[in-house]
Amino acid sequence: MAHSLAIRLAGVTVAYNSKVALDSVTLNLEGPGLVQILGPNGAGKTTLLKTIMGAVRPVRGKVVVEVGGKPWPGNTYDLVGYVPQYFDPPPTNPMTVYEFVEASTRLRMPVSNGKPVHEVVERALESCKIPPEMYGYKLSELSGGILKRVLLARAIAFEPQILLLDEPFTFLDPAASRALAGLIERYSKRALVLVTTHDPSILYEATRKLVVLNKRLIAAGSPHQVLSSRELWKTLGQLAGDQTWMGPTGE
Amino acid sequence: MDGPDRGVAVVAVSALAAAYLLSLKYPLSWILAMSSAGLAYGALSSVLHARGLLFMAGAAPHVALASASVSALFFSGLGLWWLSSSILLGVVIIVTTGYLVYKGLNADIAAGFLVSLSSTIAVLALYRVSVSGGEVIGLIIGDPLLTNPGEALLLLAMAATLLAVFATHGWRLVYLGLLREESLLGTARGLLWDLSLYLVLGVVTVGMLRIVGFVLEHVLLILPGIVASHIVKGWRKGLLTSAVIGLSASIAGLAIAVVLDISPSGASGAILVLLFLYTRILRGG
Repeated sequence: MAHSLAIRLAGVTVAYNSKVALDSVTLNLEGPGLVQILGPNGAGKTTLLKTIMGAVRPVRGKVVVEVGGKPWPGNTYDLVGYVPQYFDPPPTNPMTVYEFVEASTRLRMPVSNGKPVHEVVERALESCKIPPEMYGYKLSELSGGILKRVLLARAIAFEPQILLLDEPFTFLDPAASRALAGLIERYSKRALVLVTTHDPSILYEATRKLVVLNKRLIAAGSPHQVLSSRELWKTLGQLAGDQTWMGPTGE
Repeated sequence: MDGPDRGVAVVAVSALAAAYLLSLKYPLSWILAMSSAGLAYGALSSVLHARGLLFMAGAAPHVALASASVSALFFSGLGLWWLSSSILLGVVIIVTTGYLVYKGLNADIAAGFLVSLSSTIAVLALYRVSVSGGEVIGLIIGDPLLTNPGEALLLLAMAATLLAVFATHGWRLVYLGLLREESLLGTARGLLWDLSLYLVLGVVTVGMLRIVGFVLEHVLLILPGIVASHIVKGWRKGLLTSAVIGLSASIAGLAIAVVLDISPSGASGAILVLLFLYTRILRGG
């Protein structure tokens, strides 16, 4: 844990049926630390996460992951915990909260790790503040906030070095957002955490790097550097049309 | 052990006791055949329900009937050659359909086409078989009482294997139904597990067609899993409960059948339908 880790994207272009979703993105992300990725709907934020984890292959360019300064020789997905933006568990699926996290952990954690699976599962659920009386609930019975925390528990149970969260605060009320933000912030001290969002203010203080995308890379740097860039606001204003983009200090 | 768990345990023990009592008066092969079918279909039903694959539960018996009737054109007497060739044919069709669904074919369209195609083939083949004096009715309504001891042991082995595989690896199949894109990421094993479920479905539905019959296969593949979901939560409990429901309905069906001189498969089906209605009403809708 907390090895130096870097994700290097070099000229990455991704297209779905010839429709470009990411266009020549070159970006270096280093961890441990928290990186927020901003951009309007359809900007390629989810595609960027899926490209990093290996679910989508670039048509051009490449993604290299380095662990301890050396290129990671294996499958990048082995290093990645992922929390998707949408997850609507089918009501017919009987898996309980505990069984869901346990199943994922059994699949993701090498047997040779030596830790009993039930300990790993319980620790992950506890760290995400899932009350034990909810371990036996079906996933389809959970509220949106609890479900997001269960997804986070599933993602961090095997202690991945890269954690990808796709708009984790969508549909959450302010209290649930704050609770989730605290968990994400803590985990970012020991892993590289990438969060896509429309609202950078929730995790602003903990953010080490801010990336703005709109298929192409618009800006990347420290939060202050990026958000104080007049050029950025001009671009975002043009992209958003009549929408309002508000910075963390309300500008 | 909570209330539903105790209830399931009592039903399981009662079913085994009833099976023992029946074996004192009737051939053991009958009891083994019905118990094996109940266990196998109960376990399979649980996984199909959990994965949202009930469309395949509806289509698989049609494929089984088509495969069995086509094989009956070539191998008379419904013996080992007939059984082997019909299982092979059924498995190829079901696994191919499963693969196409995996690759993105709409499940409703796949099931609709599969039912249409297999029903057409079955009617054409059954007509030829009946004209030439072959046995047809057994495939439609099923008759466990025709099972010989060798076949009964084969069925028991099939059911035991299925239960063992599902008890140890069924969670993989159920988990694959959630967060599918990620579950399958970076590995071909996800596809293999998916196809193995279709393989098992093909083997069981075709292999046990003569015991259970085409009509009742629908009920046994669909209802135990749904009834179990009315009673318990969780994958492990769901599998166990569904298998116990399948076993109990089969044993009780056999007991009622020998007393009233009716079809054992039909009696089992009636029990499952009543169980479904009862648990549905208990759940409040």
